[in-house]
Amino acid sequence: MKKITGILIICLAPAFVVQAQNDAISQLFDQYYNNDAFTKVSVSSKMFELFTKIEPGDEDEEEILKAIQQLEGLKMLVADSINNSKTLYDEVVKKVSGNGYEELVEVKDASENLKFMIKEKDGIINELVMIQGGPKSFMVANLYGVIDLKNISKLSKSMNIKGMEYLQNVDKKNVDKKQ
Amino acid sequence: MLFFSGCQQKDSIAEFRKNHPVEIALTFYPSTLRMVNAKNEEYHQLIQDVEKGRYFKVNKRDDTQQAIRTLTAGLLEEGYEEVMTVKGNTDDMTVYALDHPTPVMIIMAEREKEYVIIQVQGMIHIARIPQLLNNFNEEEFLNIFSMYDRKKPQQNIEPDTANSQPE
Repeated sequence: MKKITGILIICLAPAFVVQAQNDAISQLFDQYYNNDAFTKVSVSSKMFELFTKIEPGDEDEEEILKAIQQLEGLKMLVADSINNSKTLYDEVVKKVSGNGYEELVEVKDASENLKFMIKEKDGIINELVMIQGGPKSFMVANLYGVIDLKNISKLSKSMNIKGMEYLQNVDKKNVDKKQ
Repeated sequence: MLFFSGCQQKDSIAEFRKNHPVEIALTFYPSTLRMVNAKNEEYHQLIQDVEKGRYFKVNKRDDTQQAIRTLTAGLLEEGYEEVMTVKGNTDDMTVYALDHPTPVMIIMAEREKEYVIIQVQGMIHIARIPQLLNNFNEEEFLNIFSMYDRKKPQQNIEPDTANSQPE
């Protein structure tokens, strides 16, 4: 299972340029960097450049590669078993909301909260933040570059990444409303 | 005017191996990789452009951390770039990549009592990973690394030799 998780992470990994793309996320990352209860993932932009060398085998692969090749970075902070997951979820949502991000989707149920937020410029989504909080689990993922929600959702769906399926229901009109 | 340096290309992994014992060293070629999971077509498509794979397991000793630091510094001198890090509660992993016409990736994982170093020359078709995962059946997927660790009789896994260096 660890190997599959590792492959999943590698596959979703876009390039990560070392810039303060999201100060709140960067601060969070730094805050919990030495905390063993959290797994920290960061991926460099070079990873994506390497993907440009791959020849797609079919249309689906071409779309997946296109989605990945336009991404520039990923940072993730994940915890499976912490006591303050609800507090942390609320804290991170508040921090990110105050940073100029727009809410895209929110899902709340008895067991879990999930929120997607985006930052866009000139009609292009250049950051996607996913914040997930369960009874004991927590995850925040910050994805940036040129983000095509449909293709990212397709990629995530094919890999059964929990939570990302909600992006499929986000119509482009929700994002293009400013145009 | 011609200038001939006569300098050999640095091989940090070879230098590491000269200075630190390696518990397990394996080299895989395409035919080997294909044979161990003969039935899995998605897996074959995933690795079809992998030209060579090397796997090392290094048990920790007092001087291992320094040796790994030296290895890392050597890789960066060779032109590798750090492309990914995963810092977890039990294992840490760093991935380095060399962007050549045939890319090379080195995955260094630190576990409690050992380091695992995997070197992959060529490209893994990441776009095929979703299909592989969708059809993944752990029972049918032969894990050659755990096979070797359990010291079962095996075929088609070649112990690493001094001559099997990536170009």
